[in-house]
Amino acid sequence: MKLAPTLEGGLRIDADAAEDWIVLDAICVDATSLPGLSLYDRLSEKMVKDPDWEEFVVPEIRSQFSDEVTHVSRALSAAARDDDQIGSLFITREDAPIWYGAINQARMTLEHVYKLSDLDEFAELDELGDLGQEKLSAVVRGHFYSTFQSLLLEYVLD
Amino acid sequence: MLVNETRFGTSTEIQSSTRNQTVMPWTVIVYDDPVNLMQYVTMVFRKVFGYSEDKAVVLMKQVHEKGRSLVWSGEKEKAEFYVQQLHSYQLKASMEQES
Repeated sequence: MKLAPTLEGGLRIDADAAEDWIVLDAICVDATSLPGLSLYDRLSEKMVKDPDWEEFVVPEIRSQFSDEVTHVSRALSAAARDDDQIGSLFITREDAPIWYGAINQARMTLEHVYKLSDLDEFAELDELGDLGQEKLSAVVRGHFYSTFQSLLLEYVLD
Repeated sequence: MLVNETRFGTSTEIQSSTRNQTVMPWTVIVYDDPVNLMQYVTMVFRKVFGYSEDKAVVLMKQVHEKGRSLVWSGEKEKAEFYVQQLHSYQLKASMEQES
């Protein structure tokens, strides 16, 4: 898979294998798999909320988080790919914050479930010891999501 | 007459005291988390509060190194607006009234 900035200020994703689409699709799966407290409840756990806040603010933010994942899911479903699973996806400057938010939700889940921040972020995979297949897969996805976000920040968002 | 004067005096003192009462400002607090990238937090501070890059970096480092940072202080309504914005950017944030 290749990710590169476009002349229009967006980001282009070129996928050239079925595995690339699997890891891209995993964004939405991870983003919607946060166990326990919802993302919003985690972000606002230190906040003293009054009834107006609960009635007017909370639903709007929850809806925004949900819409981010739906948007990315639809974009992935709509991306053209040939029989060999080679295809491209374009993220416009306007869509970039939505993608960033959905990927962030996916990273929140990975962090909560697998505590990836406890691992040495600069270590090679074979230096991390025996993590087991599930956690190793999470580490790989976590690296991919972070790189994806860094590219969005460097070339599109900031 | 004396009684009236005293009552007038007391009333004036109360009014004066009310006028001088200051409403304590509200502070917006952002907490560290292991997910959000430092560059992202800096960008959010610039976008939400309109801070310069330098100020946003200083606050981001406070969050990262001290676990939390008081990023803004002022009126309650504005503090609520900022906290809402920070939550929508997926930053852990709250607001407190200064004591």
